[in-house]
Amino acid sequence: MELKNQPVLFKKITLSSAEIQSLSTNPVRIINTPGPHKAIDILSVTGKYNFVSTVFTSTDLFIVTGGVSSPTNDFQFTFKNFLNQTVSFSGKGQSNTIGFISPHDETLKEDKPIFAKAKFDSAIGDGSVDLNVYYRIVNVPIII
Amino acid sequence: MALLKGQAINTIQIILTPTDIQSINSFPIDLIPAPGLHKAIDVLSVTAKLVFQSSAYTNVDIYIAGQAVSNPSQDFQYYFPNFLDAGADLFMKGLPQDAGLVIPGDNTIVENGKIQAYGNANSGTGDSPVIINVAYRIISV
Repeated sequence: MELKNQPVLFKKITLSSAEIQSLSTNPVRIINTPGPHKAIDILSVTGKYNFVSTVFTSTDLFIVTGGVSSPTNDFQFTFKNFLNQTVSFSGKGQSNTIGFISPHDETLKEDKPIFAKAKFDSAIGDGSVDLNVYYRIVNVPIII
Repeated sequence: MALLKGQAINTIQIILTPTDIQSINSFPIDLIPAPGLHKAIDVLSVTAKLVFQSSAYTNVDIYIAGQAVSNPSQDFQYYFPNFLDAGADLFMKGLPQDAGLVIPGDNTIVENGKIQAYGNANSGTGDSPVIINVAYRIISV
């Protein structure tokens, strides 16, 4: 089955400094669940880190699917050393690579939302992050 | 330079049968036909679902590759590591190339090349179909 000219969906969200400080404990939902038998396939994520005056002590920002308690199992995109910079800058999220997943990890999740999650919480930091997410909704395939 | 707004993507969904998969190293499966002269296929994302039945394959990886599949280090674009040998249903997003897998001077985009699925080996066993969904765009070379 071939489908031409399928739409690419787009979501823009800003993470506040308060959200980033607790982003490991309390991941922020950035795309809602797509519905039964569907999954979110992220095509690209870009982020802008807006430095103000104090850096966060956490470093990496993850864009993860579903079970955020196990980011090594199912994360899709990573901004490495992103939150601890002393200048504002922009970056493109890096997709999973083979070293980050274990054999037979299920990296796509049916009817699960997408979260932004940090590697650690941070007691300090007053910047913010703007995220632009490009994604598509895929049907979880079944054999009829 | 032209600025193209509102560009959409194409998708294609293919079911690989157990017979296809058992010989997928020797006989790669066509997913997307060659786009024509001065054009190339840019694969944006690939998902794959293994619908496990009763017997696992002994080959493990699926590659989504450009035309010259005899040299996978040169032109494959996405891969599913440790996928075919799973003993349960598995739904994965294909992993893109990383720098260590590309040789200097490699053409990773092939002009007028089709896109195929192939495996790291053939398999003497296995009975599970795999459903592959490819999002791509056609670019001018």
